[in-house]
Amino acid sequence: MDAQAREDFRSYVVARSGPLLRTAYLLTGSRADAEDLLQTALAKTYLSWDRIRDREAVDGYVRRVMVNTQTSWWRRRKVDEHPTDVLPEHGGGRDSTADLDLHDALWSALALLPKRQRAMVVLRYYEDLSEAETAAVLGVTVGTVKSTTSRALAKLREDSSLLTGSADDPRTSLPTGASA
Amino acid sequence: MSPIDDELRAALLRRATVVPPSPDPLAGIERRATRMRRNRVAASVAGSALAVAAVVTAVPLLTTPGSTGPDSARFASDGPSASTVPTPGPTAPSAPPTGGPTPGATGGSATSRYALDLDAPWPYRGAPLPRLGDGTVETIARELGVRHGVEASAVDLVPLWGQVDEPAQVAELAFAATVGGEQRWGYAVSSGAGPEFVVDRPLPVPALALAAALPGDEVPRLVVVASPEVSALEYGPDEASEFVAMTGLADGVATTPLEGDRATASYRALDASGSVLVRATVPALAGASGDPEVPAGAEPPVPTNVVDWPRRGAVPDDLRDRAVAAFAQEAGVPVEQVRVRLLFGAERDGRRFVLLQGWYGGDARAFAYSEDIADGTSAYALSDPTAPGPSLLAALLDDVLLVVPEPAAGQVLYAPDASSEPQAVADQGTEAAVLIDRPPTRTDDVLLVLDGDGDPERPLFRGSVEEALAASR
Repeated sequence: MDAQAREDFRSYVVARSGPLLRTAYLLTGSRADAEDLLQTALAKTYLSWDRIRDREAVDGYVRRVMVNTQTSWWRRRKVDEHPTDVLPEHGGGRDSTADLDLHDALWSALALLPKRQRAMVVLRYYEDLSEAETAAVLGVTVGTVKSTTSRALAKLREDSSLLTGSADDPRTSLPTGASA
Repeated sequence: MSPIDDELRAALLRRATVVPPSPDPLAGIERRATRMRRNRVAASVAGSALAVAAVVTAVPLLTTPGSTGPDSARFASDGPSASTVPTPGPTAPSAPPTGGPTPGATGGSATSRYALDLDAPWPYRGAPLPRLGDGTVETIARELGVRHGVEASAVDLVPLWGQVDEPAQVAELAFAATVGGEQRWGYAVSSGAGPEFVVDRPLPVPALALAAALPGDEVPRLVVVASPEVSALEYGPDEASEFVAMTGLADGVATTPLEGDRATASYRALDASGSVLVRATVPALAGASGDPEVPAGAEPPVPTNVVDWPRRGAVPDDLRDRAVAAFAQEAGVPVEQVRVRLLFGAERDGRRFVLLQGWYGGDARAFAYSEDIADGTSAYALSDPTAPGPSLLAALLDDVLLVVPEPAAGQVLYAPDASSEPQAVADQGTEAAVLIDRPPTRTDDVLLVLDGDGDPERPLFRGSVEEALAASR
């Protein structure tokens, strides 16, 4: 990598690491894992920087590496997980308002989704990618994005913590048939 | 737009905004990138000085057909010394491709003495295994099992060649293995996050030489692992050039840098009489699966929609082969391009059943196969690409419904129509994977799959059979 390319990469990291770290956090649910995931993805991007002709497409490349790496980490760590008596600390505090209770419940339910489903939810609802863009990032078909996202939303709806509120409250009696 | 869409967006945004940016986002990236690069190329760094020496000594050979250099990858075995062995040049009639020049694979003559037999494998060569790191071989075996969705006990790994890049302490291991009954070979490189499988392929038959083209810092490198009894390993950079000796790393193991156009580059192994045991084109550049840098032509990575469930039930080899052949035929691709993961096997009422996921480059698809033991007639069903993270895979073969739920599943219940209470399907000894009689006239039957806790309020799946069939696609 020549000096100009290295400077380009540095500029990209400075400009985009904040948003990408937030995406990594939503994928992992842990600040420490998010930083590690993002650093891994950016290191791979660094190695490929000279081959990435379209600088507009770098975000998509990094997202794809993050999702693939996150899935890989999950596969590796699955056998090393240890149950604990204490729930891990969440990044945000708990508010008393109904809105924030629901958001906390959604966040908790999101953590229970399979990694690929979680990734699709993050890409679709946080990154606001279209179904086609999400499919491109994940290397799957648009149909797969539709069906998987639909299944993820169905699981979120079924989560008991989301169904404990008033049935009159549209936010806590989450509807079926939401478009993915 | 529905309320859950808005709430999801709001919840994710709220969580994301509490994450402060890193104070120094650049810190560590270049260092980690350098470590990754070293992981992938450790041997080329270590061997570059040797490679340069080999190239220098090989230069005169370009004008001396039929000879090899004294510093060649010739291995003292029971054959004559390197300097006295007549070696056919690339234009010699005695050097035709033997067994077909499939990239990265090996063909071969009937020289079974040189072929890898996992019942009596080649001896391990290279750095002593303890130098590769505590538990490295065991870790690679375990990760290989995870990668292929089989228990660690179903992986029998045979180390073939190993080395350690001293400055970075990066271990490399070429190995053969039986993975859930399938013979494979691979090349793993250690990294901070665990072994990285830069090669993971079915073991060719016969396996006379295992070749991997690996990324390098400056140029890629070719590593060939063969029987320690082969006399020479040579490299032909293109069709017009003569074969030159590769740099020997151990008896039957050699490397060479890959420069220029690799499309027509090839390698070959010779026996002590100078006869060509195997000749093949250089395989496509290897890469870590799951990494979007994997170039076209490399062994396709395992698709992300392949489930990592253990196999339930038994699948005899002959049945497996026919099921795979049927999948390839139905998919319209040559069987050698097909990769599968066997998920279920059972036999009932004179029929044998198999459920697998198969792929040949894109997403994996579920494939169900059955055959009548008496007359051999078969039936099969190919699904659309499997959605990632399915709760179950289901298929309908004539009047039998195959249901293979995720490993966490407990009991499977079935009702012949929507108005009936689902009844538990009797345990069939295949860990919740079951066969259910289902006359074709049924249209509103219901399937219920409970999780391991058996909580009917939180089933893994509840819906019509039609929905189950759709959900497994």
